[in-house]
Amino acid sequence: MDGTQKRKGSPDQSSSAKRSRNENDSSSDGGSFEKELAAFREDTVAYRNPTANWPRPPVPNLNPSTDKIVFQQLELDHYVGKHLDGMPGSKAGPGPIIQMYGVTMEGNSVLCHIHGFVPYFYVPAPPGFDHSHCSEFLDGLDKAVLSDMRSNKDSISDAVLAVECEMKESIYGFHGKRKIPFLRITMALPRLIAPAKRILETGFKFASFPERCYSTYESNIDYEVRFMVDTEVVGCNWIELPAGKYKVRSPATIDDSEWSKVAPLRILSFDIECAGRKGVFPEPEKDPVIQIANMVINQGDRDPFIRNVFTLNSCAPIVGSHVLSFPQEGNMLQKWSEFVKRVDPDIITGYNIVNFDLPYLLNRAAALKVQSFPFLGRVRDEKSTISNTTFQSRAYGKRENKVINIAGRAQFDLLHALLRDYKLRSYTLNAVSFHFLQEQKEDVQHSIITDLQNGNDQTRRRLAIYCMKDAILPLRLLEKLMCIINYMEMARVTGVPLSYLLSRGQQIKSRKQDLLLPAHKAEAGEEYAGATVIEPSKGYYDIPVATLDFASLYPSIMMAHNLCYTSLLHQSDLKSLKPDEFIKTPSGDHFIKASIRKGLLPEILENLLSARKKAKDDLKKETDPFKKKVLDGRQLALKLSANSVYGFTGAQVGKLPCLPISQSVTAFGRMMIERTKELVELKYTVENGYKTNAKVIYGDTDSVMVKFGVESVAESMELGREAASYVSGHFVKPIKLEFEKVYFPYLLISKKRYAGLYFTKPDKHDKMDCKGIETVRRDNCPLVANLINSCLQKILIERDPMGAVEYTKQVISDLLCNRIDISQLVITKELTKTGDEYAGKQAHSELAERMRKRDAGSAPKLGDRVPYDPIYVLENNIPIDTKYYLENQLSNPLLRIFEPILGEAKATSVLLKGQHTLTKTIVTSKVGKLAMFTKKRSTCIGCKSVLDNDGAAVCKHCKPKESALFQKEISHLNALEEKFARLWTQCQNCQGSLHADVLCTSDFKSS
Amino acid sequence: MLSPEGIDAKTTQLKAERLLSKPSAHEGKELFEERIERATCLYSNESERFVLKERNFARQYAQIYAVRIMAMRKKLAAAARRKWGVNFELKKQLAEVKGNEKCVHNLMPQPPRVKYADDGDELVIEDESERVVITGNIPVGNVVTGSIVALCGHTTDKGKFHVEEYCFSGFPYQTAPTLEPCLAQGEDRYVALVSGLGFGSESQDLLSLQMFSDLVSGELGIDIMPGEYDPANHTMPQQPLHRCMFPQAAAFSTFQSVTNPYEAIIGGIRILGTSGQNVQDIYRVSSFEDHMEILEHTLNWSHIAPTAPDTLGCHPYYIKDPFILEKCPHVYFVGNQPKYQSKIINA
Repeated sequence: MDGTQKRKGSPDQSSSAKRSRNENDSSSDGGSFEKELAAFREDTVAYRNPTANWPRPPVPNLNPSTDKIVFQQLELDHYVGKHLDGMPGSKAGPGPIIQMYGVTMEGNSVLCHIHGFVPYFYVPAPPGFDHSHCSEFLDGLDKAVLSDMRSNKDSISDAVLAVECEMKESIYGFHGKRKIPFLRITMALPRLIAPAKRILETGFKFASFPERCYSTYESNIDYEVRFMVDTEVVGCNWIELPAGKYKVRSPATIDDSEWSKVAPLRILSFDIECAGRKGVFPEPEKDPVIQIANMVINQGDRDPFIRNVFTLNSCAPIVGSHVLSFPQEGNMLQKWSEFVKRVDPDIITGYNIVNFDLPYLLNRAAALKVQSFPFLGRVRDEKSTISNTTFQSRAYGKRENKVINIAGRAQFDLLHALLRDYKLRSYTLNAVSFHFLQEQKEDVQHSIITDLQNGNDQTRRRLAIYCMKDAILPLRLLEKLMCIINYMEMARVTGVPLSYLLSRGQQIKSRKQDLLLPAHKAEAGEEYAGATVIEPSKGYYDIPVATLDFASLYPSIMMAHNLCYTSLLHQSDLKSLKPDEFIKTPSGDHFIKASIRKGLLPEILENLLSARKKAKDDLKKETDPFKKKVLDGRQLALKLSANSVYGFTGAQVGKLPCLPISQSVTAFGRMMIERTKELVELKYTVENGYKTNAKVIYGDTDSVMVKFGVESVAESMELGREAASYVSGHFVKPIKLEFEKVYFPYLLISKKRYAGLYFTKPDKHDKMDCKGIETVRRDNCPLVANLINSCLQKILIERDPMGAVEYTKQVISDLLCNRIDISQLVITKELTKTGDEYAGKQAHSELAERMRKRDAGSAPKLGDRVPYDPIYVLENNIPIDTKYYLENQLSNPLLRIFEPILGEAKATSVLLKGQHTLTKTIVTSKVGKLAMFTKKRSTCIGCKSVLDNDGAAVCKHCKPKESALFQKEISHLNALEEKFARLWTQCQNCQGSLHADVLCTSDFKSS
Repeated sequence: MLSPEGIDAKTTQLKAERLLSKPSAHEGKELFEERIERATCLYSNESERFVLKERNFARQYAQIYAVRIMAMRKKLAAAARRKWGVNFELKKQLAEVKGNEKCVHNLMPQPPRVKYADDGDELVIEDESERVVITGNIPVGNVVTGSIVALCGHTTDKGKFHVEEYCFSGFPYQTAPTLEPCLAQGEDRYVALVSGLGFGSESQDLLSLQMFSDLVSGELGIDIMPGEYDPANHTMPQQPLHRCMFPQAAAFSTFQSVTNPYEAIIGGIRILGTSGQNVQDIYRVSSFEDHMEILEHTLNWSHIAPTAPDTLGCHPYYIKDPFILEKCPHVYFVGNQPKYQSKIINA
């Protein structure tokens, strides 16, 4: 996709349809605008070995009047371009043009320019307005907007293109199904919407109408999203451009199986190495880029078809890979930029490329004045630039991010995806690949990288192999985690472009009806009561506890009670309605019943859930593993979307929050949990012929735990199923209570904290399920997680609570006597704020600060997990504060587990104050002052008495036991030798070479 | 084999320790009325290379592979020329291989990090410069990590190496035994190989041990090699068991504690053997079923323990790989195997 592309203007369709290359048609999809497809471009150049496979396959000879083009669109954006003859839109000035990027099934890339889609928004028509006033309104607003502009560099002559009067209805609230006149205002450019909106909202008068503040509708919708909604294009769908006719395939209906496949996307994964200076994080102004490794794969293939590395200075050849060496860095960067354009990837991936690799390359190229470098996108003249954003959400915490625009190539930073979707202890590429692929990579220290670069072509070759490993791992992870497929399905389901999913939250689109969305200003501070729970009856239950769950609780509440923007009633509306026409929710809000007007959200939810059901059914039938992955990704995306419908009614910064809906939903949820408790406890009693009185011991957001008092799992399941259908009968459809599982035994610690053996079949447990307990939390040291895990194993699986107590005592005693391996004591914590932002001094931010001072190159950045209590302790022989670990790390989690078993008072006295805590070994530093007064003498191995004779190993009293003592020592040596051998061979395996010394900086504690 | 008849009931109650102690004066008289002068052979211990002079654990394992491939390269080149003739171009290093040219090559295949062999294993060949996946005509289950091989083949577009033929260094050179005169004259001398004594184990059969002891104790010197579970060091080569382990037997001049592996020339015959860890380990990581076959392969590879250090613990050697077979033994044995087998190989 380099200089070969051409943008071909397509003349006016009415006069010369045959001359146009790709015709369009405004009538086929009922859109209110005309589209003009200008051109698409492709790459045909073939080069000799080994760059022959760089370009995409040659483009077939297309005859625009007879051949259709079908492609999967991946991304779209817009630019402001000159008006072409015969095009709709502002004739005099520039207009917006949509660019759609995609790939055909044959692997050709497509860029489709769509002319003529213009942005618009609505305001309610003022009283007394009729069609004849439209032009007056237009003129007035046009003048106001033009005079508002400080400069008019695009020389816009008409800011407002059209004003039409239409009958519409606001989505917010029930209006008795009446539609009122709205003015649809069409603007020349998307960026003119904002000033027009501001003018209208702050007060606008025109002609004979008095000054008035208008509320605007649909003015905060992105231009691209507006286009997708109006044309029913969803993220990553297939587009067909038939000869002579324009048509969208696979529109909002998401069950089109023929087009659910995925085009052979080209994915480029790359990694760069920089030669940093010691102790300084590489700076693009000073430190050169020395290598760039690239892997290009077609989505769905197993091996990348391009494997190469760009190196600065010579590099020994690598079998199976293409080495491109350059004596000059600027030349290397330029060639790499050309390589990217030639290969034309649809997706660019890598590990932390968005925040490191890409900005570094761009900045470095700027520092070296490589002018042609930053044009990496698919649009020839568009420069890639860097900007900073801070992304904050409750779910993901605060992150500093960079945004780089590369037109037409989705940037899929694997690190971001992992941070989003997985909770891990560490997010280094090494840790991540070990976690998911059971494959490790070496961690080569920055200073060694520089040394390798400054060596000979063999050492640079070594570095290149390391660099290429970093480039291929993201691809393997993508494949393993099915990131691309899942995100693509998500894009199809939610209807937004792929890149939106990564860089922004989710939004929803659905405007088939004549409903308008008011523009909403984000306001903070509105709070509502969240889901509450039935107070847990803490304890250790040695009998089965059945769990009843509401399936998709929040969506089904919204459907059951018709909760929606469009059904929301104002207090004043109530008078005019009959009492059986509306409901009052437990939170005191009123909604119209579905019989009068069915809400929009319930309808969307029904569609989503039925689509999910279909996807799940298809999944069962499907045998092809790849299609299975696609379907699974789809049903997951549909589930998430259904749940997010509730989410955005409560999101304060969303497009349209609606407190009455969200608080009604949670209130219904609370009520239903309470009602379930009542129903179950009333029915399952001794009076009604059951063995014991059932008791609800705990209830959370969408589930209740019932103790039926029966002995066996099978009986409990039987009763659970019965109760679920009994209770479901008392609720409005489609709310359904389902029996899901039995816990036996069950340890209930507190709200959201419990553990139990999870049964879905009567004979064997599926797994040990722990919620909110330290085994899964990440800011504890491994000792805590391991100890808690072992205790739970003993309590739940072995059913031996006392054994767990004994075990715990032993571990505490080991800890106090310094017999615990130091790797068990490493604590990691996420650095969520910079040092100054924390109110008090926090160990991990302090440590990060100190690490920065010691070596800025390896210092942690925001969002990284900081391990503390590091190897530094070992190297400097610093004694470990075992008491700290006991009191601050172990005691609370332990007490939480054992309190339900032993009772509150007893737990403390037995575990933390027993005899086992009396023996303590306090290690003192060997570098202290006292060390000066000590002298070394040999002692007997057996009895530690001081030996007179330094040559002997044992004293004369121990001589008879010499053989036994020797055996003890030799077995120690034996064990150490085994560890030594295993450790180094493991490291060799990890680095993928037997012949090279292991250079890894990973400390051995984690191995 | 002796039958149990005629064994004094008393002797079956022997304690294990007694077997290791010097016969008491009156006992000796009882059993051996006349002292027999022991038949002797010329003996030289050839295990010097297995004795660790210093234990230095500061090194990694890369060196041992380097010295191994360096030592083996010459042998392999000779073997390759024997097999494929002299017209082939011999590539010393993988890095020299480019494109589709044919070449001969010395390196080491390995099944990648699987604990146990599997059909899905892939072979990887590596030398000082790099590693490459190999495909084609080479049985995956019949080679192990650390064995040195010459390959004839070419690289493929996928960056793999396609093997057409392969060649190991073959049996090492064997010198004809220079028998000592008495043997040359046809006199018989015996070497008894005993393994799996399992002292101290529950199922120990003291009776047969006693019989064995009675049979041989007067006849031979005893060399003892440590085994996998003995109180010795873990990594190969295992060092001789400490004399303090045999407080009583150590007094005999005929008692000798030796290394594992152990090599000696007895009466002109070169004998080499191990306590079995090398064969057990190859068994685990290959698809060989027959232990004898494994033993034969180690001869063909010219290396006693190729899987050291990868899956078999090994001292980090850096000057010389002591497990390379420089001279072919006349007798090659391995202990602690599931059953007794023997085979004569004429190569």
